[in-house]
Amino acid sequence: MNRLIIISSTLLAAACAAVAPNALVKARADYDTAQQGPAGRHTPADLYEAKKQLDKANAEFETNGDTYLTRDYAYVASRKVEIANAKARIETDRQQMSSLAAEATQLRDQQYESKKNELNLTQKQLEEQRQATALNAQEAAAKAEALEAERAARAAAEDKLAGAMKDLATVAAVKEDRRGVVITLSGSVLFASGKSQLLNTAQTKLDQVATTLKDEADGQRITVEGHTDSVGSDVYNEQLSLARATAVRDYLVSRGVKAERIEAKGLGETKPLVDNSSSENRANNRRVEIVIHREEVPVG
Amino acid sequence: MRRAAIGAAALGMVLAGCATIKLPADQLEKSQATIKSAEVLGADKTPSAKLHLQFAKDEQQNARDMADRGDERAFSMLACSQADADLAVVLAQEAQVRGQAAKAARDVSTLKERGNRP
Repeated sequence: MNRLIIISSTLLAAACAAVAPNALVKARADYDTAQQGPAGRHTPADLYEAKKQLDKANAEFETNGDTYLTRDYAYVASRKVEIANAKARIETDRQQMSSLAAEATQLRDQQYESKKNELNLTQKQLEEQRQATALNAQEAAAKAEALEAERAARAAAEDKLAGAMKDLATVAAVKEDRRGVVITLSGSVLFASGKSQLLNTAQTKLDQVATTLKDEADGQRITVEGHTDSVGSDVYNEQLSLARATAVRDYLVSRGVKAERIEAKGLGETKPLVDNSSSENRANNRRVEIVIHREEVPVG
Repeated sequence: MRRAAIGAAALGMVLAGCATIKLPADQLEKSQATIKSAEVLGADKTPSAKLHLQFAKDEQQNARDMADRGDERAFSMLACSQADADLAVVLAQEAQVRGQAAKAARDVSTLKERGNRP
């Protein structure tokens, strides 16, 4: 009897120690590996499904040994492990995609902001240019307007001066040379021979000259030049011409022409108009010239 | 009597040999539907998924053949077919997701290059 028990036990032990089929060995290894990997963290539910199949395979093997059921359960267990692994990889990929999508959004936002700032700057520059152009155009228009006004004023002034000079021409010779406008009054009209005191008749003419100077040449420098003929000494003629020029100057000042604008010079016989060979020529050389210079007297 | 016994036994054997197994219709339908899903997902364009899709089809046919022969293994063979079909679906999905992830990586790379341009 004891012998029979020993033999039975030996046979049972041999059955228990039967070599597991490759499918089961692989399924166990697959499961153990998966448990330690991403599937253990990301897809435990799928791994649990694999575990249930593996348990069935183990149970079948323990009970009946290497049967087709052991192998098929193990096969299904391995497939379910693979499913768990694949799902874990998908989860990892999705996490990576999510991270990439966030990065892409951030990059797009940054680039959008950058483009927006660039656009704003360009718009600002364009607006500044537009304003500068408008200002330039405005300034140019104002300058043109001012120039036109100045030209018109000058033309009007010239017209007025021309009119005044025309009026003046009735009492004196008026001409224009490089110095400016020159009003020439005959010496015989203004003074008695050898005198430097103005004749009464001269005063009427000088009044008109004074009016013209005040109205039309206000601000310009004026020189009153006295000229004589060649009769008499140079010194005498120079003194006489200066005295006459001074008399004219003083009279004009007394009539409102500003004293600081007007000066008197005695040039004697040094600048005759014509030679002194005849009495007519000498009469022409005896004169007073009032020169209205082109340049204005600086203010102050 | 003896002749009758032999005849009955022979009939039994014949009947046993011709006995078929009826596989659960819902399981068959589910297996078929899963195979269809794998195909729709493009499993035949992904080598690993394609392999398991083929396994699933072969195993399903085996299960049907076994059921016709009355082989009890037909049930576990159908389970194997379902497992391979499920795996084919997941592998096809993985290929799709991997493609999307690669595209996302390319997009980020393109954006970075664009951002680095002066």
